[in-house]
Amino acid sequence: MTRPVPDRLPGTLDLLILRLLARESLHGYGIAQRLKALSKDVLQVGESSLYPALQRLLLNGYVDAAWGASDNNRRARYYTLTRAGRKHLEAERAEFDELVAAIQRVLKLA
Amino acid sequence: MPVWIRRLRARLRYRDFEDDLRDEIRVHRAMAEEAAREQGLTAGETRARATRELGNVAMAREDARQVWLAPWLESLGQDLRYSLRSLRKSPGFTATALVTLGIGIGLNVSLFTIFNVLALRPWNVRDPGSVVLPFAKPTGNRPFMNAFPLAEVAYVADHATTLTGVVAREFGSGQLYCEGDAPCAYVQLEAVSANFFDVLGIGLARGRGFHAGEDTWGAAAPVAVVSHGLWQRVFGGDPAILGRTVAIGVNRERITVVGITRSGFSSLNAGRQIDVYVPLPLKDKLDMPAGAQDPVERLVMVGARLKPGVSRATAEAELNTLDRQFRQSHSLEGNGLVLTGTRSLQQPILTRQFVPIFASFGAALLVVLLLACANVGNLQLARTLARRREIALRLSLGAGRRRIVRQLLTEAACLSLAAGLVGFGLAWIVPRLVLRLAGEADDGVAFVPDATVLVFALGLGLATSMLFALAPALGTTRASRPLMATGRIGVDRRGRRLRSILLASQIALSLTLLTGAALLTRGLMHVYDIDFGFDARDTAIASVRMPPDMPAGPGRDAQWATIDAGLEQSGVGPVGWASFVAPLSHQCFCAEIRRPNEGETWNRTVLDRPLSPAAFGILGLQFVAGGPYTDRAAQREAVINETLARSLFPDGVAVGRTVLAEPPVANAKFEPYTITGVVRDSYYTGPAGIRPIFHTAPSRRSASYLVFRTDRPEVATRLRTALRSVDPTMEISVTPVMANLEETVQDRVVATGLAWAIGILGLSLAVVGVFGVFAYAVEERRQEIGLRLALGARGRDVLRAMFAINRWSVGGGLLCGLLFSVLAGFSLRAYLFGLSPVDPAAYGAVTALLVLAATLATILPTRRAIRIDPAITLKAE
Repeated sequence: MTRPVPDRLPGTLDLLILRLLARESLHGYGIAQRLKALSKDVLQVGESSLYPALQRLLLNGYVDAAWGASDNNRRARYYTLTRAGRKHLEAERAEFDELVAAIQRVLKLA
Repeated sequence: MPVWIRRLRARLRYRDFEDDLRDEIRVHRAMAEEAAREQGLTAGETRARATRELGNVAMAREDARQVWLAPWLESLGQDLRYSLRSLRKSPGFTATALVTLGIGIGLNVSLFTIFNVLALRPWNVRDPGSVVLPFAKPTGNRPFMNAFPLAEVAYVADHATTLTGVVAREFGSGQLYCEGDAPCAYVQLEAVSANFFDVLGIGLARGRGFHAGEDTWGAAAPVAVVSHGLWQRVFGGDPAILGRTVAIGVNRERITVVGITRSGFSSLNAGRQIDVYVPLPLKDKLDMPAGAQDPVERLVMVGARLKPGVSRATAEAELNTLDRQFRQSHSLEGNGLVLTGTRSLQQPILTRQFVPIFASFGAALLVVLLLACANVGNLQLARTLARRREIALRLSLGAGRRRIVRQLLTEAACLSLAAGLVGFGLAWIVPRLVLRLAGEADDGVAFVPDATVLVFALGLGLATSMLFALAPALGTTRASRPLMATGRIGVDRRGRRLRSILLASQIALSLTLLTGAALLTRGLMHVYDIDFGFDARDTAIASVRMPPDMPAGPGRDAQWATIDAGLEQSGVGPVGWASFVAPLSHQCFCAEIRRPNEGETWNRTVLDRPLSPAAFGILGLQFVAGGPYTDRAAQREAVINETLARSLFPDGVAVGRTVLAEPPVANAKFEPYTITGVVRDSYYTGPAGIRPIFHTAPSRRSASYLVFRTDRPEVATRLRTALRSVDPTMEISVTPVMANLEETVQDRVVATGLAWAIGILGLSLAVVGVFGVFAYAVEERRQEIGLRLALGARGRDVLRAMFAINRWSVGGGLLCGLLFSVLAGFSLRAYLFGLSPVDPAAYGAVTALLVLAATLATILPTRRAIRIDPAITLKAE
């Protein structure tokens, strides 16, 4: 399926967050840190992008949020992936892979 | 859980949601700062780096919040709350605007309610969308008609595959006799086929409809279904009515009541009340026979229900085929048929009748609404100007102009929607009130609003809010005026121009309304001055009232012979008689006429005015060809007027030729009549217009009028003597012919009264508007007036100055108003009985009235301002 090439972060940010949460529940700051670490400082996301994305995922029911204690006993809000979120993650990931493969094919063959 | 439920929950637990979000972001920031501190940065650098990395908190929160709560919904909610608050803070404005707009909208919605019931509502049956009406296409002189031969109805019912049932109906009326054969009510009948209640799905409160076979021609069952209204009115809601026998009609035919319709249903057609339903063949026994007994000639009204899934076009095609087959096998003329729905507006015949009336009244009421909008617009303008500071402040703080305009319009929309609801409420009362004032009985048909009317009311409300609020809103939000300059309320140029336009339009519109009413009134007065074309002013009629129980027949004929002899002996000379209808009456005593070689479809409906030969001379009806007939009713001779002669014989020669005519009496058939003369066209049948008229020798079987000239009153005396000699109880009453104009005038009085009511309403609105404008102008110039008075000006000078201010708008309004009035006059021409549409008396009177009212409205606020001590005014600066 053809689609316009997406911007760096907006649609893909949701995908990345879901992937991170697939492993374990994290709070907002944790997500930002993990993302930065795993991508070797390439992908840095600020509050103004992160929280709207998290709210979107909450609205659509892909994640659940609950207040809990963080490592240094600070009260933080943890996000967990739901079953619907897991399904959405798989679907989004497949689509993303397809898209990237198509782009790479064009770059190679053109 | 669907998305919208989550949204709703977030909306309801808004505070928690806000707190959560704020805490979360705060925690995030704290953790980031901690991490930075661990890396050994100072507090300041930490914070700076955190801020850099993490972006704008406020924006983040705003964006996050916007995911959940649609921003436009939020701002709409804000606008609504603000509007309600500010409306509540100025109760005077709100109340005035609500009342003014409510009345304006209410009147329009009331008219629409009546229109809705008459024109837009389908039949009150089960699933009206699948009920269709066939209309025979016009042929010859016949227009679209929902009338088909009874035999064709049977043929179609047998052969149609696209219909589930075909019903036939006819209207009638008769006297109802209850206990002991005492007359208890005069009822309207509908004679229907046996499948009427089943096919149409008309519910019955009790009992049953008709069984199949009960409408067999010649063997119809003597059963009836009565309406719920009649049951309550005449039988007191007694359940034992079922199975009881009553008598109806001239022959006191006995029928058994077998069913009662459900309450709220009286008839299929709006505006008509049916009391009793009987099987179709019974009609001839209960009412005057329809004339034709042969099922091929007997025409009935037809309705049908489509089979589920069948389209109207398909059914129409099939019916046209069947119709053609039937006509061919019976050698009948025809052009085919069309199928329409049951809404009056969809049918080809009725639109012509009442749409022009509704258009006229609708236009007048819309004008009233415009006036109301202009008034409220003025008030709104004043209010918006008072808020200029606030608006200027908001604009300078960065509010978008569109946002502020939207808020002002939301306020106006709140007001108008509330006024729309008020108007909807009025629509429950006003239509019935008007109909009762007009003398119409409160039918089983209730003119009550329904959902369509509500939508109309709210829509009209929104439209009016645009009208009165858009211009002030746009004007006040222009960002040209610096904030500092709005110290005190000075004279605002743009506002003044707008107010002048509003003032001028108010004067123009109310002038138009009043002129319409004045023209209608003058038209009615003019009725008495028309040149009727015959000697209406010099003649009178003596109406002879025969005793009611005297039966027609040889007995009465002998009596008339005696009367005639008595009159002849008294030496009054040839005596003129008219029967059935008096001169100048427009009653439809109508005959059908056609030429001998024309088919039935060429029948023309003409007014039948039997006159004795001497009456022509007495009444001054002039012959342009030929002469009157001989005075023998048995001889079939007739005189026609020029209009009818032109229609029948366009080649010009009518005298000596034959026509086929069917007069409107019982058991009449078409007979040949010879034309002996043609009279000049005149307003013999009333001032409303010249109609085709057919004169024959008068029969003595019914109402008779002796026609005589007023300069020979002894004729009437001789008649009285002659009558008394035959029967002392007979009486005559003498009236001048001109008195019959009352009939026409009475018909129009109600409409004219309504026109005046609308005109006065318009005038009051205009006066209030003018008063408002001048009051505001006085307020604006309070210091100026105080200054002038202090400097020695007299009150009179100030008054003159105040008049001068608005002279252009008043003058312009009057001119425009006169122009619109002329247009209105020409469009009302049909109702003016020949009065000139630019009748100077009407225009002059109305203009004078309006100028007087406007002057008074100007003087009052000015006098108040003049009275105030200048010292006070100047000090208040």
